Amino acid sequence: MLSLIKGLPVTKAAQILPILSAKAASSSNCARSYHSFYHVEPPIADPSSLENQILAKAYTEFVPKVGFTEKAVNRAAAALGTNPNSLGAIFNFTTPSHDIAMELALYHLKFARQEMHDQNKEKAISLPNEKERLKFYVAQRLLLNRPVIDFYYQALGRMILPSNVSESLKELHNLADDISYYAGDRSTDFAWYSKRFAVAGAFVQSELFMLKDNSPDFRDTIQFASDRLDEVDKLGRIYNSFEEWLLFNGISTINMIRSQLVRG
Amino acid sequence: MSYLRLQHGVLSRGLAMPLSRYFSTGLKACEAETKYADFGYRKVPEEEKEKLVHGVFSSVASKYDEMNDAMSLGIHRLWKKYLIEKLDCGMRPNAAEPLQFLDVAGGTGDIAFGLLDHAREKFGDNVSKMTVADINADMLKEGERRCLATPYANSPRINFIVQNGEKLEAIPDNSVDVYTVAFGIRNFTNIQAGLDAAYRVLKPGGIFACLEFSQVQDPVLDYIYQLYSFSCLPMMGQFIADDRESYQYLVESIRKFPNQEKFAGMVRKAGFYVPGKGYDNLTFGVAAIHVGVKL
Repeated sequence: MLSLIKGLPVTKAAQILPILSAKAASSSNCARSYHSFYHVEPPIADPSSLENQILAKAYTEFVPKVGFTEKAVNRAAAALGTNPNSLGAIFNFTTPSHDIAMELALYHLKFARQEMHDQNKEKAISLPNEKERLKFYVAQRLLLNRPVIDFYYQALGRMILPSNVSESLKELHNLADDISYYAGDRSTDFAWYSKRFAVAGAFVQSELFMLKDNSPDFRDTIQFASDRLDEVDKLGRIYNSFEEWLLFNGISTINMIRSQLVRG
Repeated sequence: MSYLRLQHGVLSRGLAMPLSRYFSTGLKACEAETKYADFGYRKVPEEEKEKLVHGVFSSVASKYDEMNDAMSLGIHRLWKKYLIEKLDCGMRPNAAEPLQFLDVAGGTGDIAFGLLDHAREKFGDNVSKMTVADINADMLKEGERRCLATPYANSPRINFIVQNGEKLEAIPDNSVDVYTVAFGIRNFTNIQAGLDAAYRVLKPGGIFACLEFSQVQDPVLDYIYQLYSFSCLPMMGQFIADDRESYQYLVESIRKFPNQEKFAGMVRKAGFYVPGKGYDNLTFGVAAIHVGVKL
């Protein structure tokens, strides 16, 4: 872990591994908090690697023309001087999905996830509470689909292929995690899971809604997402009730077994 | 236990010289001058390894494929197919010029014919050219014989040359688009020299792809795999090809080959850009595909 940050200036290292700066701070005031220190900071898609350079070119220049297809990547590769006749070697063995078009879809997800934070972090601070920030981030992330929305069904289609599902879910989790974290979620109990689960669910539903949305500036989609996120609160109540129910039934079951055992 | 005994036997045979020699100062000075290479678990002088490997493959050439099928339960065909499908090479319909393939240590031609077939069937590519290079003339003859049964027989699209993969003297610099080597680089005396030669002959933007046995990463599976390879394979070699020694060598050379990370490092050292972690494990790492791009 430490070798990773060796080459970086101290401030950058502190950003990546806040625990270092937290330790430095604790020596002076002995304060120590237990938040998600290891939350991964951007850059999410390393712009220096050849794969990402090709994908970035394909995403910005060729997706609006030919969609989320292998063709877009091939054209981008040709434009960058890489041989498009043997791209398989670069994308089909060492990438997580082993699939060129899926890598392009994943690039969109990573790029948009990064932009969501980079473009909006200042504005998000001015919002009053976690729920507002949550809604704000989800709306901003949805709007980042706008440039590619005409071809987005292709990307979604790729993502739900059985061989690609695990990578898509991983990226969906990363998104839900980022949104929750930047919105200010600091929970360390079971709510950590239920919140991310709820955000991910709301986001996927909103994306599907967005495909058919013709309202100006996707206002209906934003409203839809906001309504779904209100359910996050409800989910918290459901969780509490469920916990109570589970505890009651668990104890009852144990007592029943005990009584049967006592009878012999 | 039998596995342990076998290992132990092999290790004791693997000593480079009799133990007593280690105590003789005069001879030790002598030893420093000779460079040794691994030949299975034995250490042999570098100049001898080439001859020994030549002997192994000359003696197995005719039975090579039957043995591969028997030893890997046919899985080597799937690995090769996977490599070809995923490399997905071939001249695209609107591309400017055909591809030049080079299959090193490709004696029997499996990969060579596979790559050309894939390019033809998927992209209608009937012009890309293939060079099959192998250091062993016997293996190469086997490939030429098989070539007669393919559409590429007697065509200028495919040629077979006897060539040392570490030097590739007959191949000009910057002339190859796709360099493949399947189950061959393990037998090079100097693997790094082989990688350097690959880098030399590839065009900028050219692809290096290597399919080779590697290390199983899960310790339990690795134990089972070792048990199978050290006890069953030489025996199968004896029964099917009547050549225990050659298959003992194969098994030992697999064990001696650098693991995935280390070999990816060697590919990088030769100058290649390695995408991602640089390798793709097949069947838990029994084999692995390494790729590199000459930028």
